[in-house]
Amino acid sequence: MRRKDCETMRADRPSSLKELRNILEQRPENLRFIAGGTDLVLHLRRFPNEDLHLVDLSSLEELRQMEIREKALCIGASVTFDELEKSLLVRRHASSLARAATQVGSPQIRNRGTLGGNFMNGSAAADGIPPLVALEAQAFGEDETGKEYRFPLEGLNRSENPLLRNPFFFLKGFRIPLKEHGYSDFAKLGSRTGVTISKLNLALSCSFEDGRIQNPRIFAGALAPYPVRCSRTETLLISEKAELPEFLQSLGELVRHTIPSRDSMPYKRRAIRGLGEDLWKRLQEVRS
Amino acid sequence: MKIELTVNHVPRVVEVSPEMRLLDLLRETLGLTSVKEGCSEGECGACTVLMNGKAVTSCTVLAFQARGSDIVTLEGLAQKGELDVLQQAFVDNDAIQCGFCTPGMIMAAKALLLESPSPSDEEIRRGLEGNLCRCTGYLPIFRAVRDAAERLRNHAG
Repeated sequence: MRRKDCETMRADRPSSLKELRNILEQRPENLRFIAGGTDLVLHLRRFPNEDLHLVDLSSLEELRQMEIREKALCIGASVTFDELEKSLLVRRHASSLARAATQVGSPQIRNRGTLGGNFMNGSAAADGIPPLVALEAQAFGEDETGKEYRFPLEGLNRSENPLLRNPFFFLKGFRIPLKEHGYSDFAKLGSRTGVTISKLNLALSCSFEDGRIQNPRIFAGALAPYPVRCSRTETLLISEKAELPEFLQSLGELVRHTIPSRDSMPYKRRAIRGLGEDLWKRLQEVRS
Repeated sequence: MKIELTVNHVPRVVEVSPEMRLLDLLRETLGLTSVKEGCSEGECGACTVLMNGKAVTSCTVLAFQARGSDIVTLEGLAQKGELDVLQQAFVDNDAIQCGFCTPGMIMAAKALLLESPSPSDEEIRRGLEGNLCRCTGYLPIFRAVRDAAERLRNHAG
């Protein structure tokens, strides 16, 4: 649908955080942040009568940085999937996130879509979020008063989180704690091989000590509104006695418990075994 | 609002509205009709242009976001009456049938070759995965991009 000519629609493209803060201090009505635009531009077309005040975050250099700071990998909210995929820092310290980035959309979408937008858009199928949660990432940002916030991504209740409900809160980035001998991985299933939206995905992080798996964290994405932790599967990994069939069965059980009455349960219960097998095989290769 | 940007190597100052897409600016304001509107959702790649050297679907970028950017469309490839190597390779490899996807396909390939002048077959496939073609079955397009890369290598050598 074509948009009507919106007399009251506004757009700003601040070139610095200072400029952005000046805009937010005014608490503009109907504010909506935009970065890559890969979701919001479609929304604008779908709802042509919405008069929004768009504020573009994609040009803020402060939100485009990737660096090691205070024993953590810090990734700016406006870093694109293409940049994540190619970053040596991300590949080294958050390889699951780099792997997820390679599987997002097409080159055109990866060149524009941002990690911050992937999180703030709140899609259950967002590929960037399960790896971040598994890696114990925190998000950080600022509200219109200049107050800074940092919060863990795990267990987030998006719909009731006051920060995420505050239209003047802007996300500045993510902080992933560095781990010695850390390892992480990601596997995704869509309706086709490439340029596909997740029907199901699985992210894993752990570390190794003398060849033993420590602190495994496994999260399934696109199963519920927010990544679901696979606690029983993690326990199996720590026990060191687990074999592949048990590992896969525990994942299938997670699906059965999480979405018992959904039509897609039988399919996803089987499908997650394929993803689990991929993760298991790569994990065993790294261990050996 | 007025924005400054460079389109096909020419600096421009244009009036845009907040909701105007880069696609609309290029096609309707600047008359660059090689930029095709297909799905309008960033899925088909027909509207692909280069934005600061990277392939983007111009239907998912708002025009005001292109302020200060360097935009190249298919019209900006041919120089001094000579087709770009990629354009010539598409002609020579019969990689065009109805032609609707061709400008976006060539711009996606251009971005690929700018970043990776000697792409592997897998890189070519991945570089073009955001562009749909309903006519050719993709093989002639794939061959054209491989041919263009080879011509560029030979020319450089």
